[in-house]
Amino acid sequence: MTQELRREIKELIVKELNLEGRDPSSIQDDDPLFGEGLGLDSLDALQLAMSVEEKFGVRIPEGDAARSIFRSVAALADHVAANKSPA
Amino acid sequence: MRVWITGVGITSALGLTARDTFTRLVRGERGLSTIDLFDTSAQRANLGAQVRGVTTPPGDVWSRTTAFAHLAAKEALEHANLDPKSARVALIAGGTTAGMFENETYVVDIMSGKLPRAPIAALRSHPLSSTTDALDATLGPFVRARNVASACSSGVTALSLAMAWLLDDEIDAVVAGGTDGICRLTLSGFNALSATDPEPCRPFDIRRRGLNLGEGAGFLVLERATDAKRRGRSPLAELAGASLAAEAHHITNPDSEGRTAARVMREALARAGVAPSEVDYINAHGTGTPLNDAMESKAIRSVLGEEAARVWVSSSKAQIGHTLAASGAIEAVIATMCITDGVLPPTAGLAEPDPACALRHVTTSQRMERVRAVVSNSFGFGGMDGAVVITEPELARERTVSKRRVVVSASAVLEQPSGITPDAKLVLDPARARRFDRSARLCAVVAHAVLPQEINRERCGVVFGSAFSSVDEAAAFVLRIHEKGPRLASPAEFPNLVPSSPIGHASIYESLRGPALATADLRASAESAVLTAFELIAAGDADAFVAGGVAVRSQLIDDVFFPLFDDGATHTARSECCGAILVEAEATSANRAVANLEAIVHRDDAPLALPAPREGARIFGYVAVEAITHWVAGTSWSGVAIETVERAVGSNEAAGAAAFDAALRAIAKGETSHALVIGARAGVRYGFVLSGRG
Repeated sequence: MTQELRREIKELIVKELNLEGRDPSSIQDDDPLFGEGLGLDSLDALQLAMSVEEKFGVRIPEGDAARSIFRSVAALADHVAANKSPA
Repeated sequence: MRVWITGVGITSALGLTARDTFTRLVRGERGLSTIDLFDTSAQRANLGAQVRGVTTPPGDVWSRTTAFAHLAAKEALEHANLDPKSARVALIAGGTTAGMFENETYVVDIMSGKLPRAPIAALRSHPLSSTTDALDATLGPFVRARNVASACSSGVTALSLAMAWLLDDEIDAVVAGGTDGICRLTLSGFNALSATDPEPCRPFDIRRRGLNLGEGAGFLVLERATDAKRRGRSPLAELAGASLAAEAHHITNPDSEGRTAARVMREALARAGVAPSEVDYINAHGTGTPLNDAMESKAIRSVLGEEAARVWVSSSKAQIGHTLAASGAIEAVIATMCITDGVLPPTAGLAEPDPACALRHVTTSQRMERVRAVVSNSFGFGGMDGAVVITEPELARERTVSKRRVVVSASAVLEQPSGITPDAKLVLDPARARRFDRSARLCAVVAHAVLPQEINRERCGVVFGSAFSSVDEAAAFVLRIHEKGPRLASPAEFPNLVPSSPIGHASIYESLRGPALATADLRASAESAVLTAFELIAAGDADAFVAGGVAVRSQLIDDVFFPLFDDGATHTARSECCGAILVEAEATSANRAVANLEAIVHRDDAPLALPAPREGARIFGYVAVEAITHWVAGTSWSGVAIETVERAVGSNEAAGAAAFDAALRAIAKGETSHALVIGARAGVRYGFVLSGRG
């Protein structure tokens, strides 16, 4: 379940942020998404938040609260799992 | 040359004249209300400065954007007591939305199959050029007209270009400004970027969260002091200096150090001959977003130095909203009225200044004995920055500016008669180009092809003409809002929908920090871009420009927009095309120049006043030979051999760039030493004479 969710999030990141040529499985669960690591920026964060809301129905709060959620794929998956309404 | 401001006009949420707007601005009133042009109930923020009480005339295809521009430009012309029917007046309009608000529902219906994919008369208000065309028909005729877009600095771009135009004796006065209207696309887009404050915004405040969207228009009548005096006019103020530059940093985020913001202020002051000690007020861009206000404050402090403790600063955007392409022009009018009235409007909503925004803020309107010089800033998506300096008449010593000679050094074209450019030709660094839409890819590839390694990128700008912009992407964005609601509007897509974005991306990709902007003039869009580059280089606003046109492949353009403006000059099918030339000041072109460039434009069907052709001269165009023959009839070039690139480029709005490329290659190969590149669209003819330097 956790692994599956993380995989889906990695695929979402590559697709939504146009990381052309990047293999989703090469993103490590604990890689920092922003700044160092994947090198994403605030515009990517907004796009990712919107995509997560569309795909999983889970809202990412605005501002500083998003910071810890977007720390890594693992952190984002935890937030999604905790807030996803049961299917 | 001194440039006097002799008339002003504003259409805003605070009033339908400059006087009404300024009076209420000084009182600290705010023109905010719930936007009700369309259903905004599901929007993250729906508070904005909507203009009320302006109607579009029945029977004409006018957008609200055009109606705002009409009101403000008419007011400015009447204020200056200037009639384009009896004087040589030119028009420049900055704009980014044109008829987007009116067209969004049609586009959604076409995309979802409710309407056939066919021309609809109502969509004639879509191109940015629809505004200048409507103004030309009602307030003109104007001797020259241009649409410019540099996102939220479009108004300042229009004013800079107007100063360049006044170096030309063929123009008596320029009415220049900007206009934009609120639409689903911009409101949803700024909301998607979380750039809006759902509450009344608070520029420079510690609790600021974003901007309130606004709409409206601002126009100014500018003329040479000598001409204004001759017709007995006195100045309101002087447009003493202007500067445009690009950050080449990021498509939405400003460089936090504010280096380019500081550069344009410094350059505008230097060109005006005004010292920081003479500046009494800065009308800030001051959008109320966390990033802008901190960056701008830093830039202002760096430019003013110790004077920052004395110089008053305020932003008008908490009262009239962020009017996007209109903001630079509206705020230039406000700056003018600060000088005439000796009063400074406050920053509404500013309760507790952010220490990062430490400046001498105007919090309640400030009565002044004298306002000598005002700096007005505008910064746009794509890092397109601009500043103007407006002063009391004759504050600084008069500057002598002479036009510089202009040359062409290189050309490149991606032409695709079969329709679409193969991806193999669009090779870019995937990491740096990952946000590019198709137009941006085309522009960046072509820009790269014409730029020599050694060119000074600080002084090299980029301008592309595009008649319809990225229509498919805009339609997809609007359809998505329609189907999924504005909360799921794509933040990453939105910045690409600003008409100047492909140019912004190219500027960032190639680190070009000269002026970056888009132009639009239907089939002659590439010509309008080359001409703009020519004018800005001649006036010293840049040393070089990558200048060309982009016409992206799109079924919506092919089937819906392009046929609306088809005049039958070419019978080939529409195809994708992007091309550019490198235009340079002769003085800084090193040994790169291939040909000298002269430009001749005419705005009715009269023959172009061309210099006589040399032996072996050739004409280059992109439509059927019969049409080109007709365009040169009655000129000294009548009978000169004509070469058309029609079959190689098909029919599109950027084909002029391919004609330039063909002419430049013929000169480089020694096939001719004198070439006329000719293009036209209804009512306008563009002629460019290239003389080989061999």
